[in-house]
Amino acid sequence: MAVTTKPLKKFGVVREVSAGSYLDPTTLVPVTSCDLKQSFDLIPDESLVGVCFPNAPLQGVRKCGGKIVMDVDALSSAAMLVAMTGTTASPYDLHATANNETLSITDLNEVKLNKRAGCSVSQWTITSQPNKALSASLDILGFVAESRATPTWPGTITINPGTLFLHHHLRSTGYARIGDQADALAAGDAVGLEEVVFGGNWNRKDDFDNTSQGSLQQLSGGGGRPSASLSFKISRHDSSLATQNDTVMGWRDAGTLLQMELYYYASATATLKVQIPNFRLSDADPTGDAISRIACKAGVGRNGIGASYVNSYMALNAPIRLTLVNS
Amino acid sequence: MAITKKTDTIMAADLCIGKVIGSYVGTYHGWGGSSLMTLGAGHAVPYIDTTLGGKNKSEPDDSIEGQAFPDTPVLTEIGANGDINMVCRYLGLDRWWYWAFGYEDAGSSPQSLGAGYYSHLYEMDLHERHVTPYRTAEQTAGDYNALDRKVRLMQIGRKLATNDYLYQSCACEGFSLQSKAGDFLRASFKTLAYKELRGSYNSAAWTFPAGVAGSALDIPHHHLTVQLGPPGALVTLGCSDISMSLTYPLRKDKDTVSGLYLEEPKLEGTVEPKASLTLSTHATDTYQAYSEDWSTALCMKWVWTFGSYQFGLYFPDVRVENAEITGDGVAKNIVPLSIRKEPNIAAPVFTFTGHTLIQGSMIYAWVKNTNSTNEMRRN
Repeated sequence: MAVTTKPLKKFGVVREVSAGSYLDPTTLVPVTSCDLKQSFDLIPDESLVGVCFPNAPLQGVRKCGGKIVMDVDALSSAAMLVAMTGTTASPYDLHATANNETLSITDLNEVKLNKRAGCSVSQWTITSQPNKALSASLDILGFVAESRATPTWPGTITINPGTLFLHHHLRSTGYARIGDQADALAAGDAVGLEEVVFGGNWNRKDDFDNTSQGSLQQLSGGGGRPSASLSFKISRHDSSLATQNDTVMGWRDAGTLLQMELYYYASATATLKVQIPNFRLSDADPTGDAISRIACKAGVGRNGIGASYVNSYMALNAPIRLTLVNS
Repeated sequence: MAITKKTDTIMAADLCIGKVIGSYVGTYHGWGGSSLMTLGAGHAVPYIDTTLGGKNKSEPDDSIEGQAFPDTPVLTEIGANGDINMVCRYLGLDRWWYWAFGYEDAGSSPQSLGAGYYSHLYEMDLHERHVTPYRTAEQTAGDYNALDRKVRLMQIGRKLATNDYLYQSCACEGFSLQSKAGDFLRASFKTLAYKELRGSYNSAAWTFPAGVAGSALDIPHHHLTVQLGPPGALVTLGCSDISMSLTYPLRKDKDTVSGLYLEEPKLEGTVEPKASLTLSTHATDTYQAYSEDWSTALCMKWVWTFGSYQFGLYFPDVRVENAEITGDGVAKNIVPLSIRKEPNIAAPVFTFTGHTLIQGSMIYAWVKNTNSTNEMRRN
């Protein structure tokens, strides 16, 4: 008797050519948790017919989605970065106008093979913390009904998980830098980060009409304007370092436009560079911990339009760019 | 290398000058004034923790420009606020009580009680919280000057490793007190400041007043006597927990003159303090009866005593709201109270020897310690 057990699950993805048309997975993804599911709203029958109890509810619209949490690695993340940013190859920029990318997500357990087509990333964050692998959390919305088949893995996986990126890869050849936009970031802008969280929100939502019991394809911006986010915690409130002393609070009060670059260097063939070219600090405060940190939150914007960059030292318009090197 | 450690981040505070400033309010020590108080000896105050810090606001621009993502938000307000939490002491907090309550009559407070002890009576200013001339009945100081102003602003500093952080023109937005069995009387002051400044503000000279640092004069729960009942017929109660809180509804607004900063906050609504007692044992239905019948006038006092020191809160007119009995193994009686102002200041519920009641306050704080200075006239 086959019983679903967590260690024997596996998840695969592939970029769809035509949104909603299922394709067999080609990339195995290092998922650590997943609650993708299909559910139906129930429509109660509240008719007054002279008896206490109502009739059974009716089946309403179908919703597909959930959250995937996965480690960020040098190889299989590429497929997810396409869906997260709307850009089909590295460097992955949060797309300037729309993200219409969809994935076919396949997960295998001991009982069934679940096939989900038409899946898009509604919002995502990447969290970098000490003693942990870089972790991505993705909210998924899908518009195609779940299909279940016999538990036999379909297709051929050509990309397996590679080197995981760790928080301390931001050292040595790697780095974390933050500074104003007066000049390009350099070694003197190095900062010690206890935590950094950045992400994008495409603000998708379910839309229903008569053509399907499920949602129409959930388009980016359907639920509100897309946005990017950034928060970080500087590990020490330290007078000896320009990026860790009261300069940060000065930036907050002056509304100084800032830039950040995180360069995860695991090896020459496994690097991830994150560039956030244009943001302001909304919050920056020494914490009340026994050893104070500086907790910061930022308002992230695009970096101009076309070649007219707000920050000319990062020639990109996207609020966040991720550059993945894996060969 | 200097790294900010919590145990090193001492706090100091002093009241902004109120005497003879009438000509200077806009630029001197008024809200956002151009001059700063110098914190130094005797200004340090022990505290537990604080969320006081620079708090700014920014406004997003969602203009439609054919781009998915908006540009960066724009800074639209600079300010500072937060709570300051401390263990209460019999000595060293008089500036804070004046700042929180708002009035100490210059003509009758403090009263000398002999042996180096003085009594202070702090009343709630029932008219305003912003910088304002003394009302006629308040002009009781022997050195009163027509240019004196009531100033309920403090400058509060914290010593961090990088710089001294100074919070200019701090207004009290409200405060709460709580005392639980086995614990101390703890205060939390809600602070609204003009801005946060960072630099050198003399923190090397911030020292504690004599006898204040250390736990010798902490106010623990077991020093407390609680009495509640009709005037003249107060009953002593066994309480495992008491608390009170009040908020000053201050208007927080900006205009074309104040620019990025808040203009001076002003009281824009009524103040409605609340209090609550937890009687350790439900042994009588008296308080259920009081919550059903509000025709009986009640008053209450909370007095902590330690040798010659005293700290007391006096509530001249209270009513019991929905008293309830808990579901504990031994049931307790929770007695929430609404607090009202002195019903008749000409015949007050409580009298404080030598002190003249001016405001008709909702709550009086009566403090007996070795401080000989009237806080409203301190600077």
